[in-house]
Amino acid sequence: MDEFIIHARGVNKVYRSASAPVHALKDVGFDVKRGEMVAVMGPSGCGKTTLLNCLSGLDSVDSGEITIAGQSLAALSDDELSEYRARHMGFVFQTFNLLPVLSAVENVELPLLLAGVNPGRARRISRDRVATVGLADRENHLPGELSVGQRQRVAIARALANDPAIVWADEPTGNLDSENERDVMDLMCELNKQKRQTFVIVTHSDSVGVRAHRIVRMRDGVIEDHGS
Amino acid sequence: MQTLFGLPMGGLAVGLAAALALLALGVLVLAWRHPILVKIGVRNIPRRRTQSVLIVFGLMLSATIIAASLGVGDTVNYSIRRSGIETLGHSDEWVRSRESRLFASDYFPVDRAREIESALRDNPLVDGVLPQIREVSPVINPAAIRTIPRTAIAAIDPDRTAGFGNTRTSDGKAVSISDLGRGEVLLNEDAQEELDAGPGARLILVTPTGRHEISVRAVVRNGNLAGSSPRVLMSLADGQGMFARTDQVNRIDISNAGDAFAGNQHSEEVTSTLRLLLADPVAAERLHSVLGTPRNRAMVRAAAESEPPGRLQSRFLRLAETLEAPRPSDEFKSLLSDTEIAGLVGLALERDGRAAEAVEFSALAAQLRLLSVDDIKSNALQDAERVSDGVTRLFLVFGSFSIIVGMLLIFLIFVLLAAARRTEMGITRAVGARRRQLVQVFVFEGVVYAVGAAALGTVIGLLASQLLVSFIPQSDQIGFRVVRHFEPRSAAVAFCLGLVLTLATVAVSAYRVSRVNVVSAIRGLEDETSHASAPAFGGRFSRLVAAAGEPAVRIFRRSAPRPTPSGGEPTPVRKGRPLRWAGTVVSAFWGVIYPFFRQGWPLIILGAYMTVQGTASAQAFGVRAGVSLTIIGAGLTLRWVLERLNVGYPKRGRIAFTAAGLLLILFWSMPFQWLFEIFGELEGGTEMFVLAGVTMVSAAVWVVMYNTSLFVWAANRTLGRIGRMTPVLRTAIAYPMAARFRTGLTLAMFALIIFTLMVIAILTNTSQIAFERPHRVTGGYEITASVPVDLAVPDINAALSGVPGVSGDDFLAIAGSTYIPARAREPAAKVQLWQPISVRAVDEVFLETNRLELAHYDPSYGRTPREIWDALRSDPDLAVLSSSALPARFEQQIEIHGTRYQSSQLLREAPEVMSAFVVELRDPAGARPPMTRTVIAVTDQLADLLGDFPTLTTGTEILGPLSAKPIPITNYHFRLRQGLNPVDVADRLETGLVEHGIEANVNERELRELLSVNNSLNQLFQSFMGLGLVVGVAALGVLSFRAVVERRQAIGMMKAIGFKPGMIALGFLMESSVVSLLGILLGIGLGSLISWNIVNELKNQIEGLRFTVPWGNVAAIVSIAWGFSIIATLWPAWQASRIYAAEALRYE
Repeated sequence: MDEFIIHARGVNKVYRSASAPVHALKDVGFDVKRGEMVAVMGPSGCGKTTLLNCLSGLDSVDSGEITIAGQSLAALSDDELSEYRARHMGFVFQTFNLLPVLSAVENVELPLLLAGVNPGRARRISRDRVATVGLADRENHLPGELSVGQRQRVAIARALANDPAIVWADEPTGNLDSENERDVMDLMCELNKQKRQTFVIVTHSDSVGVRAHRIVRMRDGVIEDHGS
Repeated sequence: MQTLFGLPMGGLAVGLAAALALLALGVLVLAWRHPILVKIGVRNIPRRRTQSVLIVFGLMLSATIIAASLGVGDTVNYSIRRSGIETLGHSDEWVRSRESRLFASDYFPVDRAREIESALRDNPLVDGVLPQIREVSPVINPAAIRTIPRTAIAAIDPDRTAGFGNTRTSDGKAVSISDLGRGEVLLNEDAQEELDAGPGARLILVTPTGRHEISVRAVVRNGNLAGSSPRVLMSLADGQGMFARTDQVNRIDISNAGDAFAGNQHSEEVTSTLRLLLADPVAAERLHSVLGTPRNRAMVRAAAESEPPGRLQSRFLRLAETLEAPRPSDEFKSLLSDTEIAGLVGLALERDGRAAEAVEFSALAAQLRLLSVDDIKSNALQDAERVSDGVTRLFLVFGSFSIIVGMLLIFLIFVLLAAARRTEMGITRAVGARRRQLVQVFVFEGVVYAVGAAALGTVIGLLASQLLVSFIPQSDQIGFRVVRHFEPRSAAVAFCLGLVLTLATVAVSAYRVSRVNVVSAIRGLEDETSHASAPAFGGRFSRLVAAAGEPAVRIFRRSAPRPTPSGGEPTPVRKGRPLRWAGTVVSAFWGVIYPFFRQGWPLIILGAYMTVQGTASAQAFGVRAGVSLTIIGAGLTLRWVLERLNVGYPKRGRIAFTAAGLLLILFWSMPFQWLFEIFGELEGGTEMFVLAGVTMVSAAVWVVMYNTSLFVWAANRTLGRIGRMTPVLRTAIAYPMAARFRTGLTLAMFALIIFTLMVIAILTNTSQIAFERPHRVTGGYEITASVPVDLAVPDINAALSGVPGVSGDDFLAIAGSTYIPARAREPAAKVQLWQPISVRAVDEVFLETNRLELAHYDPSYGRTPREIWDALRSDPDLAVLSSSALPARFEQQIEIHGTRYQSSQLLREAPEVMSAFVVELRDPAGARPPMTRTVIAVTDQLADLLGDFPTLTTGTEILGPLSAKPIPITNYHFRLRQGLNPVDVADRLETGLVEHGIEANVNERELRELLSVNNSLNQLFQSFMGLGLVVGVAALGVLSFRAVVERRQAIGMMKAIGFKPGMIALGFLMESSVVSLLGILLGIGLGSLISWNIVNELKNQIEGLRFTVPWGNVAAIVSIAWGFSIIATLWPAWQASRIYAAEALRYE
């Protein structure tokens, strides 16, 4: 059991809209080993992002159990979940979601400061992370002054800032051209290999999927194929 | 209120309504032509109801402030008018002796009343003539041991009260003077309350002839003949007996036709009739023959023609015409009975080098008026109008800060609306809409908001005014009782003016925000249009030429039609084309000149011109505004030069505007003395306060907003290292500093309001000096007592020996003085008209013991106040003038007496030093030859605190030449032995010397009451400015709501990476705190700076004045402003904290 850092069983999620309820996840079971890089693929609206949101604790579930590194998410309050995310998880989004008013290094610094790291140390670490993603010479630039590929690198640096056990990536290359996509995936694979961090990547892109250790395929809220 | 800034309210309401009707017509025409634009604009309103409510709330502030100002003015006006009417009843004019009692007897035969009555019998404008005796005497109620030292006694002819209203008892029964038996009197309610005497009570009335027992027949309601303040009514016969004035009266009241208010409209005509009636025909003949010589006729005409145009000049010219007639006409007599006209003629004679003839003329003119006629009610109502106009003006001046802040809020709201709809706007432009059509969409939407907002604002403003007047002090402190009131006309003016201001701001804002780059708007990218440089001059000019020549081209094409490139016919000229053409030409013209303005040099030229003009005309506004414009122009030029030198976009703006901002702040903080040395003496009113506030705040906001990176750096270095709160603090500072325009607008709003509050607080605080050194106000005397002239004390020391509980040892000094009305002028000054002045004739003891201090003195007479007062003791021709007689350095808002001496003898370089100057004095009637006094010093301003009338202090030797009749001492100033309670001593003096009607005031108590009035007024203004604070707070609320919408996705991300809900909420609260506290800080800093400057200037006039910040008051201001800004952000902060991360991250 301990080899699975992510363990989910019987997860159900229903969105209750005005017209009719939408069953986004149907009795989903999902396990990810520590250090594994998993790609979740499937057509639009199949529940990939919902699954990622529920597993990372961003969204609640209607039923089922999710355990991250042995910690049941259901047992955590909203504040405890926030803290848990700050300490143990990193996120990469399709639209980068960098704070436009903070520089690259300040964006990366944010999760460290949230985790209570001393500001001086946080700055050193974040500089190191920014250098790791190849943007040392751009660390004081605002997101608006960076290219889209560079922005996503900063987002990855931010996700890795506090050495999280798990990095959740929702369409990390969705807004990038093929060259940038390749660079970003190279970076993520390298980090996964070096630091043994677990990556869960939601993607449409086959070229991203093939870089993962395993591809999980979804359709209509159900996992069709857990991959191998 | 009848006028506002001198304009009749009725006319103002009609004018504004007409302007509004025109605006409405314009909007309707546009709406009719483009209904789709109306739909786009108006349908936005219900889309976000909360936002729409906030917008209406923000837009209503202009109307609120105007309505509140007018409402307060209405209440003050109505209260003073009501108080005047209550005191005067139906009496519209008073006929009295032309001599003051101090100079002669003011009684005259009652037969004069009979003559007036008979002459006015058939006059339809007059419905009552009432002869009476009016005196002020002590009245004692022995049973209740109560005394009123100064009770108004009205002894009235019982057969002639018709036309003067009913007198009713407290339970509503009619009672008449004719019902009174011998020795019986009526008490009004105020007298009954103070004497504790009801019907049947037996009272003692003290008159110069002795004590008289009187019996109270009934207590009557105040108003009409019973007036207000303690009053005793009795029959004329009784009064004549008790005051030993057989067949004499000292006043005839005239009641005009109509009720107590309406009678006033006939005042001018009745006054003129009365003056004619009371002119001495013999004196008129002599005056006519004196002035009728060819030389004098020419002189009078020339003098009349040299007067400034107006009512006085037209009357003066009419007098010149009456001199052409062989005999004195009625108009001649009436005109010369007017002291103002007579004064001008006397002056003309003097200027013609005939001083002796001028004196003779003045004496004759005085004889012309057998009795004087005062249109007393008209004057009282005019005073009410002047005071309320002044109060409203003051409120509007202070309120203008809030109105400006309200306009900034409107602008901010439209900026946010445009930001929210940027994509829609881009798409609308992409499908073919022109920029002006986007403007129209915003204007249509704005009109709906503005109409609702103006209506709501007017109602709230009027309600606020009714609350604000609660801060006006009680009647005994200000002389009238506050009665809440507002005129429907004020509501109309507030609504129209508020709506016009709001619509104008909406139109300007709509124009500004409609500028959008279509591609960047649709793709949600940063708008680069603001950084784009303008096309070259040639291109701009060609556009103007093309636009201007368009009609000619069309006419040419119509006469020789050519196919269009697509092969079709040219577009026919459509309806409305001329209007559109005019708009295009104006727009193209603006396009030509605007880039030059961006280069700054036209502003430098304009500013320099204004400065030169302002210096030449000695107008502070021109100079200050001119120099400010020059500095702004220089900043723009610097930016342009840096652009030419390829300095980057943000950097060049930062360098140029930081420099301009700092220079502006430096210029406005310059000590006034420096300004004087550069530009000479400048005149300025309260508008300078507004200009100073707006310019300094704008400059400071520039400096801050162009240097935000420095602030962020500093904040990160300091606040950015506080444990777990660090990320919250970082984002809270970074967000507002990144949104420069919005934050700048909000900062300016807070700073402007706090600036005003600070100035009010600091300047009010300076009045504390009166407490620190009270001898400067009181002269070092604890008690000031006064007696009526007829009951004067022959020997005060002897009289005191008979006062129980008081011994001669109790007093270290007893000084005496008498105030006499006189006229004065300064021969060396430009204005030669005789101005009213109060001569304070003081005895040796006063000169020896008073501790009043001096603002200016002539060192050749002495270098200390003591030496100056001693100089007056040794030379009776010397005098000391009060500060209130000098030209005011800061414009007085409410100036009733209007007396200012234009002395050129005060030196600005050494403010305490002056050169002695001569003042001419004469009695008010001009019946005696003038005399002179040499003014060797001016008392400091604090000495005027307990009496504001311009006063000239000199020895009692002046009494003889000024009046043929011996004038007694009527005021006593007591300095007490240490340890005595002044209140007890004053009570004993009033009781022991009741026979003399002595009224003893404890000076410190008077001073406290005065300062409490000041404090009340301070609270009134601060509460009023609180309305403006509401705007700033509303702006923060609007910004926060908008931020929640704009940053939804970012909030989701923040939650994803570990921000707790409480941290998100805290971040929003901190963000609003950063803006509000920075605004507060700027306001405090700039307000203190300008106040420091003002206090430094005042120090020249009030020695010892210190600049102190009232920290308690400041803490209250900061707490309230900050507290409300937090409250305004609570709801959006809570909303932000509740954002669901998973949903927000999906939000587009």
